[in-house]
Amino acid sequence: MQQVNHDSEVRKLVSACIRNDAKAQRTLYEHYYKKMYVVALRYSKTTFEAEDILQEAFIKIFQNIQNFHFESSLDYWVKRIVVNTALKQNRKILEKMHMEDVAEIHDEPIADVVFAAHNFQELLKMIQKLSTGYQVIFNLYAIEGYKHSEIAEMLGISEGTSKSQYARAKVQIQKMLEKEEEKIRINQTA
Amino acid sequence: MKPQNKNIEDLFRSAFEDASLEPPHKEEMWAHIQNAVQKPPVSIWKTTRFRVSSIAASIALLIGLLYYFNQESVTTSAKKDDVKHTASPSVENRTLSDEQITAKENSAIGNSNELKTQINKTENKEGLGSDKNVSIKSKRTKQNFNDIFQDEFENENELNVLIENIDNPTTPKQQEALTKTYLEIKEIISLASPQIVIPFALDKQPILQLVRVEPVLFEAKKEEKAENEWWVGFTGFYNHYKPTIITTSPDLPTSLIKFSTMRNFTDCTNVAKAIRDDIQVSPSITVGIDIGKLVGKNWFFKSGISFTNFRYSFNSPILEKPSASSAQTNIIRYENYVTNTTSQILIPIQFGYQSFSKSKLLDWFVAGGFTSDILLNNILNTTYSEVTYNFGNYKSLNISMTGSAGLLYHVTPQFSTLLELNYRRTTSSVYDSPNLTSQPHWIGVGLGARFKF
Repeated sequence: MQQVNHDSEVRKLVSACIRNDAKAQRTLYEHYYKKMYVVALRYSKTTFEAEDILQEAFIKIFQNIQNFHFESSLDYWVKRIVVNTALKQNRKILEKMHMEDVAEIHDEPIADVVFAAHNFQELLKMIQKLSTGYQVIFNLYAIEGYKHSEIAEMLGISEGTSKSQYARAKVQIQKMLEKEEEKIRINQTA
Repeated sequence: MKPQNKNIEDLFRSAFEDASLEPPHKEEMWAHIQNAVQKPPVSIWKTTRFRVSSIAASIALLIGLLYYFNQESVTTSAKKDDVKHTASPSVENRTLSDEQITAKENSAIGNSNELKTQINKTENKEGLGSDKNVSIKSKRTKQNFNDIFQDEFENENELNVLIENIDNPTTPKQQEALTKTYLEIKEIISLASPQIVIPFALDKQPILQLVRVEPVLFEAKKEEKAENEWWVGFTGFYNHYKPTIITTSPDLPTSLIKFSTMRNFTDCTNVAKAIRDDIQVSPSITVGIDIGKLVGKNWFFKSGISFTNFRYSFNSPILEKPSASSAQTNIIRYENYVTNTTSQILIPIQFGYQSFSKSKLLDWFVAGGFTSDILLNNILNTTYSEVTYNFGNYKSLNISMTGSAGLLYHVTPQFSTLLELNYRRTTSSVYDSPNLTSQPHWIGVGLGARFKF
């Protein structure tokens, strides 16, 4: 991966990309594509979808890079575009998804388990097994760190709905983690 | 609960913090990105600057033509007025002083007024006007020729004598009286009706050879079916628009669409079917100004500039086939609504025929010709962004055949309203594409107004 860390280097790179310099664009792409591919995978069900998101996102990045004014880090700006592109790709499904109200949620008691560290690819598979609505909200809240009010605004849903969807997603993830740990224990015992 | 929740969030955040993975189609993705970002150079004909310049030049040309022909029409009418004044001297001319008459005489030498001016001079010097006691009054308001004639000669006998003298002049005095009579009669005729043309030959006759001539009444030229008449107008049309798309490519329908992604889409057999059976059109509006000129008794030429917009849409669902590695099992159907919106500037050139009814209230016209359709904007929107339609480029300039027929209602001689039916169809496909052709047509009903000048 090419390193683009120094602030002045970043500025030079952005300026060159604004001038539509193909070499600079390639450098930017090389710097981010692997990390952003994982981000895209978290919001997708398949590698095809993730590649679609990534491709679309990079097109947007290069077409709108003149709007990047260094008010945040380039890493954050690029990631934000990837996430927004993923949300747009899933918007149709999200719109059709039946969102339950928070009042309907009855949280089931979950055993107090401390989970061992897992490989990100194992966790990725778990996220991809969630339904699209749960997947998106789990990503936004648990990993990106958005608040429920922000998620509600981004997706055009109520804050309560965001909370309820996240609660259900978390329950499913915990069950998957428990199963995974159970398997590990059985393997270790055997 | 809470520490556990935090554990889950921490677990995921830390796991994905620096996670990276090599995508399987890295280079293909880069090629797609480069294709989208590094756009090919745009032909000058397709640039916005060229389109705006074309429109500005067209408007400037129209305004220039309008100004030029307006100036020409003013000059022509001024010349006509000069001729009219020369042919029928007014009462006021009769009262000019000697100096003025002399000046007039000098300038008139060699033209047809020479004789009249000399007569005038003689008459004034010798005071014949007062001797004969024939008073000339301005009777511009009188419309009846006979009334005026009788009013001017208060004594009927005097009139009879004068007329008799025309037939049989015997003495010099009678000849002088005859001169007076001739001029008086001519003046009266011109007062009674300026549209009566005094025969040229009468002016040229030597006094002694004058004979009694019945005033010749030429049919007053009707409100001039002026051969140089111009008009400007504005019109607004409500059009029915039909894109008439025909798919031509042998490997349709897949050549009609391009996937910007590597998704495993099935053949989109719905595209051609939707284009053929499911096209929805929106009403189109055209507004513009036109300028026209009569180039014969009834024939006219017209041009102008108009703005129009139109839109069609259809739904061609995209089907996504699940891949072997995919978690999905069923084909996903994406409803994909495609909308094509176009706006153009039209510059028509038409030749036509117009009636001139006796009532001067209602006339009809028919016209036909060609229109230059200059593209302003053509946007194809899809609800599903991963698929683009390979319709080719909408041409910057198209030529249409156009025909129109309408009715004119003349509110005043200068101002008319009109009702017009218009048909327009492009002479060739508006798309530059090997996959399809589209020769749209428009049927419009319009209202407008015209100002003659």
